[in-house]
Amino acid sequence: VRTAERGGIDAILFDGQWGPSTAFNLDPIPLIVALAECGTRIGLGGAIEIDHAEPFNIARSFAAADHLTAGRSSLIAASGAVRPGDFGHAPVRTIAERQSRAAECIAVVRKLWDSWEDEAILLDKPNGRFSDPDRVHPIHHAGPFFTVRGPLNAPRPLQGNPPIIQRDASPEGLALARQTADVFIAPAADPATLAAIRQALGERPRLLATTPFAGAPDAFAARLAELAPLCDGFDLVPGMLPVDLDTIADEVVPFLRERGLRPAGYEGKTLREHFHLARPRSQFAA
Amino acid sequence: MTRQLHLGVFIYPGGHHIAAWRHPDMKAERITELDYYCQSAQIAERGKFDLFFVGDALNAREREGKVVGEIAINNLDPVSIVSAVASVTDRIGLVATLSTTYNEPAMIAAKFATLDHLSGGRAGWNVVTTLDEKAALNFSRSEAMEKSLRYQRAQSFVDDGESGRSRRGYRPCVATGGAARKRAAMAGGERATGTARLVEVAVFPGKPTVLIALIATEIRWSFF
Repeated sequence: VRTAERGGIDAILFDGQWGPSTAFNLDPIPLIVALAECGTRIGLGGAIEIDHAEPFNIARSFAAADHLTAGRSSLIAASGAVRPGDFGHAPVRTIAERQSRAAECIAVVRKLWDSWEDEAILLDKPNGRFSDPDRVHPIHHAGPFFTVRGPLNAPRPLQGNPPIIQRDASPEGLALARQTADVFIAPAADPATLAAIRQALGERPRLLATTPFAGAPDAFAARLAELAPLCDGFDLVPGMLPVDLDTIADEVVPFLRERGLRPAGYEGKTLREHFHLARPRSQFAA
Repeated sequence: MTRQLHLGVFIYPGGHHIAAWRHPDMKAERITELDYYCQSAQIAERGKFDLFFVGDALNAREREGKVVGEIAINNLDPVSIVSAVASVTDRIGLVATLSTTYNEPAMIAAKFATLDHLSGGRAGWNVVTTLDEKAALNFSRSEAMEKSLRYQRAQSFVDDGESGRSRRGYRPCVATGGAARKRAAMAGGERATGTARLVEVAVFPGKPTVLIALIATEIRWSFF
């Protein structure tokens, strides 16, 4: 994290998939919050398998994470990785059902994050008013998959809504991302794939291309510069950590800076600011 | 040798006094910030406390359908708080509350295994079944699970967790307290000897709240 922050990287994304493909994964919520002390600007993203999670728990965890990281958290909404037997409650679902549930889950998470307006916390000591009850709203959500009354029992995240990142490039995944993602990570970086994904996503979500880090730093950086017009940025995948990250921070990023493709340092404080995403007003604000 | 006591500290945003946030010395805006929790944990560690304990609730406190405006917020997510302080402490135990009624065992196991690794073996799970019936309305249920079912479910979580860990020869402390007290503790009492060590909890008004733990097979919460 310190190396990545030295290189002015926007965020580190802990995106391990739940399931049999990996020996183990560190759970994102202990992990990203435990790393809060290691930096002051770099974003910290953690993946949640939203197919098996309750929106109230997701909203509550990431509200805390966003406060404790001073607005640097990001929810990577992962879907589709099932290891049979891990989740007692999970019925088998069709892809369409799974996507509908995911869309509703994310909508409920956003409602819960918005259930406290920004102005809800008063801290008015003389009058004994910690919060303004008229600015804290039950959400009364009732949908096909979730019934959630709210409000959340945590103040609104510092970013309003921490950015939601997705990376499922199936047609259903892209449809979901078009509707719900702030940032989409494409699985590849070839021009045809990126163009097709951009079209499916629409203009709103930021699009990052995935590029494994390989080859000489200059050649790699030149390749990023060449691909830059096709996307909003890159998800770099260091082959060996942290050695490759040193090279990225010290050799690749300076090359991009010389070409005006990266700012000289962090310009904003929150991860939304790094991604140039506007901070949303609460949907319940008058 | 004189028998020695365990000491824990049970934290709450601002403190357990209902109006603590209004005290002139209290910087109330800090209670959602990282430094507030780091500083508290470091003080507890300076005092050589055994554990730093964070409770939980899964619904906002309300009166007549509106959040109660004159009291401070509930704790932020307890797992997040203890994770945040893990990197600025070395020895103190980090105990977070998580409900068996509204979580999946695989998720709980993953969270505490991660916390245990990141903290160098200092994680503890406070097992609760969530008493407040209003929490059910935040989890797609029209009413809370019936009490004996809640405790049966909790028992099976702890059993699963135990067997999962013993396969790896590795057992973080499982603490039971709060609403989960008697039934879970007694049901688990014989088996839990040697793992469940929490007991008796006293909350003293006007002082830092202190949790006194004695080795026991039954848990009692006493507020006085």
